[in-house]
Amino acid sequence: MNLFPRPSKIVKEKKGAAKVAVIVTLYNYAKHVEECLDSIAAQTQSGIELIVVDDCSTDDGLDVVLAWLARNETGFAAHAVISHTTNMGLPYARNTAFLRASTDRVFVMDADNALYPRAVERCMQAMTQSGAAAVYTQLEFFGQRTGVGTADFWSAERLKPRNYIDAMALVSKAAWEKVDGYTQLNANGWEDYDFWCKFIEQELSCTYIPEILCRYRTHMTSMSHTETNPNAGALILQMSIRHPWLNLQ
Amino acid sequence: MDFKRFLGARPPLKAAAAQAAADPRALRGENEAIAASIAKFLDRTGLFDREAYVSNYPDVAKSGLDPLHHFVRVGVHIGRHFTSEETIARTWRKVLQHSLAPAKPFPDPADPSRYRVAIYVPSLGNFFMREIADVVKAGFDDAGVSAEIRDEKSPPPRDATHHIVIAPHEFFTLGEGKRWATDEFVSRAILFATEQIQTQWFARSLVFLLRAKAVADMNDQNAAIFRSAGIRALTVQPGYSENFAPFAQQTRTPPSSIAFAGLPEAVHSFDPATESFAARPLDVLFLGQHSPRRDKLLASYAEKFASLSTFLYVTQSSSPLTPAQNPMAASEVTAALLERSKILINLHRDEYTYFEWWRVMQAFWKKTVVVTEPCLPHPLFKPGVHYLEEAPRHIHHLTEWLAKTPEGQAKAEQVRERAFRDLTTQANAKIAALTLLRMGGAAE
Repeated sequence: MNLFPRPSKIVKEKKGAAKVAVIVTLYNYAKHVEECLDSIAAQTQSGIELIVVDDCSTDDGLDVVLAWLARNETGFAAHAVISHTTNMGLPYARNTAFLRASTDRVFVMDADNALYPRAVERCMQAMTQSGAAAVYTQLEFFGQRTGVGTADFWSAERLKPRNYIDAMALVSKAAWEKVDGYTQLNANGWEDYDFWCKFIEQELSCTYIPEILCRYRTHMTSMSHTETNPNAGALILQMSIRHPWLNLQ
Repeated sequence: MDFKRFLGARPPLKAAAAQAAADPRALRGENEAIAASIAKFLDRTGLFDREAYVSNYPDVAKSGLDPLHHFVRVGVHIGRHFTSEETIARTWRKVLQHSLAPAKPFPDPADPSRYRVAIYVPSLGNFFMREIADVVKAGFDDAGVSAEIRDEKSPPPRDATHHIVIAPHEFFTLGEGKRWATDEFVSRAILFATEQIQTQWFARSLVFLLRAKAVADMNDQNAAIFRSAGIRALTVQPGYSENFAPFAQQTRTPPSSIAFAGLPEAVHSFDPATESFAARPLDVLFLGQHSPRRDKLLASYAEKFASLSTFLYVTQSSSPLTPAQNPMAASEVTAALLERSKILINLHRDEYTYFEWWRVMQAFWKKTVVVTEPCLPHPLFKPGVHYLEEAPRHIHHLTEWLAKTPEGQAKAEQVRERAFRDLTTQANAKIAALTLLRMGGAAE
């Protein structure tokens, strides 16, 4: 990971024994973050450590989080709100959150997404049962466009032409360390694809739960899809170099 | 169409293939005849939508050709749409009013055991086709008829009395299948048609279906449409058979497949011999290819389904489902999932609401209750009796009621018992095999 010092400060924290960390990266999603946090508070899983990393939002997202936490902090075994003093980008913000997590399992979220109540518990069960390095479920698309996500069984073959697994997943912290965390690519948008490719290369295996338990908000400009990502060309080039076994179209 | 003229003495298959390839003039003449027969079929059935074809493809008007002739000479080869929802709706109305030709019985061949059946299935095609071939063969086993499964790479069989080709649109077009596409072979074969009539695959399959000895269509309405054009066609839906190995036994433990890796402990430890509907650990099972329509509906059920125990498999892959590429391409996996699920949800890929008989029969077999959107009617299985029908926007409400309330569970028990009984007695694979035998007639 990066050599330079991390420009982060702890805004609010409570330590305690937790079973799983749910990490939320926030950048200018003041209007969506409460829905995300509410869905975490409603999880059937007990012993959650909530970690929010604000990546130097220019809206009042951080204040919304602090006000929400003041009302809801008893619902969590531990919590931390961390703020970047300069905008560092999504992969870096996720790494900040992983570093803070006190548990060996981390559920990854973005502040505009949401969960159904059984999401974390089911992923925890499946990880215990299968011993996988990460566990993910099928997604529901909501917002601008509704539909079902692209998730499918873990397969290197299936990853070759395009990514089909979102970042929203339960990840073992050891696996995150083994793949050296999330990588900032030359352009934004495919850090989750890159992350899963590193799992393949490290022979870390993931487990798919074919239930729709996570909700992915679609926007007018959704960065995850090739057709809408203006950086697609640059990303295809860089990914082909990083992971020559891919077969990007 | 007169099939008899193809039945005379013929040169061996290999020689016929070589001849066809050697003389391009003969090939051109054959192409012309085939194009004319497809045009005649589309005209007689009313399936071709002239106006839609002309307005969808501006080059047709410029060509100066009659739109139907343009389609059978040009459009069919480049996968163009030839029909429309309105046209198919009209065709179905005719079928459903029983004004189309009813099925005439085929003569019963005496002593089935003297026949030998070759079942051909494309090795490169969808897993589903292989599964159909397996259950067709199981039906012949049940009937005491010797049958073997072959693919396009097999040598020509020496002594088969009946040739049955599964999914002709794939078999005759993929890989080495092309060498089987001779008039000599096609005219002696019973073609088991699998494609929906609105698709380009259907149009492409006509090249073979119209020259076949007989057509076995897995859809009742399609078979009626074929008969209305003078083709010898029957509905054939091979169902229950104790010789279909993946479904014959209960799966005490789920097959070792990554398909089960993420499922709750209760699913792994469940004993399928348990009789009770309510005890099954998975509430809802859905297995299907992604489509905009299915995506939208499943998303609308997501909140309700998130509180139930589900297995919702929606694959994005558009390439054929094969065991090498997908853990779901295994009959054992389907069987084990059905045995552990209370309810199978059936959602149509598009607005053409075909009765997805094979998936439905598999569910009946494993006593899983089928909840579906309205379908085209089935000759044997009826909504409210064998399965439950509901409007798409209320599927999840019905599902929850069945899975979670004592009244719903009682209804579920009733429906699944009746479905199982009628499947095993009236929709078994042996009946389908004997039908295929009759369609092939007496031994040559």
